[in-house]
Amino acid sequence: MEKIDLAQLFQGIGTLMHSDITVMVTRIGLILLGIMLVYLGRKGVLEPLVMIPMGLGMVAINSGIMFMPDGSQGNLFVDPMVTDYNKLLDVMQIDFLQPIYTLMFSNGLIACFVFMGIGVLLDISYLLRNPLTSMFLALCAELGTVATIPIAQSLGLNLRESASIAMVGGADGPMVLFTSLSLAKNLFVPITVVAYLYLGLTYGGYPYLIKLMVPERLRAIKMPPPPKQKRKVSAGQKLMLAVVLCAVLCLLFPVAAPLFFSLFIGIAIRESGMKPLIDFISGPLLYGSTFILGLLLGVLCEAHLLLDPKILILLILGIVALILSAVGGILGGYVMYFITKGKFNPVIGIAGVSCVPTTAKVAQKIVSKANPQAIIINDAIGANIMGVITTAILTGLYITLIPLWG
Amino acid sequence: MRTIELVLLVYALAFAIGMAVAFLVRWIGKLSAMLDLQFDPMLRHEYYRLKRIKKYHKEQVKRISKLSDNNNDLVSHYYGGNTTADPNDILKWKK
Repeated sequence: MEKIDLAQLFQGIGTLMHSDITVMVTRIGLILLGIMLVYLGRKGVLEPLVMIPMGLGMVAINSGIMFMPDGSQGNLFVDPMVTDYNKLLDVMQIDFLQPIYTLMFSNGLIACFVFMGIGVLLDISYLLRNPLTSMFLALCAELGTVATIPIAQSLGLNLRESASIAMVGGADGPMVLFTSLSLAKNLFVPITVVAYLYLGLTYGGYPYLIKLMVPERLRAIKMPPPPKQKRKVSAGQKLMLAVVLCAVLCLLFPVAAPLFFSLFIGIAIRESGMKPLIDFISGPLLYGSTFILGLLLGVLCEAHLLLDPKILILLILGIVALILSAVGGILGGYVMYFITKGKFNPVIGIAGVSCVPTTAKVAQKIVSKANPQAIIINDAIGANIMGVITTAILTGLYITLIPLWG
Repeated sequence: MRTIELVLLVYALAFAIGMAVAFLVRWIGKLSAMLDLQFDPMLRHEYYRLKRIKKYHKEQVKRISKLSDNNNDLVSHYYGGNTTADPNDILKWKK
């Protein structure tokens, strides 16, 4: 009997043994990280809807690397780096996730689907209650989105890459995906992965930052109830708001028009009361897109793709952007506290970071611990929704201005 | 240096556009109440009646002010203070 080459028989292990030490360690590290994400998702520490498919995807892609007919190493999941048209057609018939990646992920369609779902779930009446304060807080909470750019440039990234990683400060996954696809296609895989990883961590990390920056006495401030006459906002008002804002923002930033359209069509459908569409978008479309997004993000975490020397810089910059945005939001909260002479709870400021509805929930949770009778969730949701709009505005500004800036 | 300029420009533009959007949001509340009004004949009639009254009062105040430049007491005696006829009350009520 001919001698059997075990490396050829069990190719996952074979490729591991034939790789250089860096790739091998990275692959094992990513497999372990994937297992940890599944565990933390199951425990509820991280968002399970994204983290469980992403974690398992990471495990599968880094375990399932094989020898290709030309002797190189590859997989049967997806090849995000293929650009040649003829090769792409071949790959689409072989790699099972390639059609979804090419036709849904790399053109931003999946981000738009998620945005439609967010739109259907958003109740913008909170936004109509106190638009100026909400917008001010949301703009303050974009500090990380702008201040990270010079830091990134000083660490050696070019302007397009810096703007893409700075968008992590907006804490809005689809926006980061959209910006990096438009400005830094070479880095969009690691940037998007870093963004989603950190967005999962905001729920665990932000409470510590709030406690560090806001003393308990201020965390316990009760917000006054909204004036009676403004309590009810009609569906007609909300629908009109969606239509006008969509038109204005699309006029200003045509490059980000697909995202604006997706968000506002969701709001318009909700406010028009089209129940079959609401059920479809908020159910199968949103959950299906989130699942596919998690799955693709997981399989994109392949060791060869992430072994970019810039990855460490991106990891640092991602967290810097998120911390700066949170600090900016809380400082905005303090400004409102002083303007209202102590009647505004500064914790609401962190809800300006547009991780809907995580940051609003975090703010309410922290405030409830300090004073169980203090209800800030309505004001926090208003700032949160404005955060989505400000992040979309900044996305539009970056995609429009940076190519012109050179 | 150019990066700092870009960052400042982007933040300034974001603030300008953002606050404009916030004002738009506030204004839309009033506008949609106005539009609702157009489809309610009774309310529309009352709104424009009050608007006419308010306009008439304003004109009267102007006319008397011209007649008696230094006599503010006369103006406030006849047409000053609350006219109570404010069409915006209907918009507030609609909200």
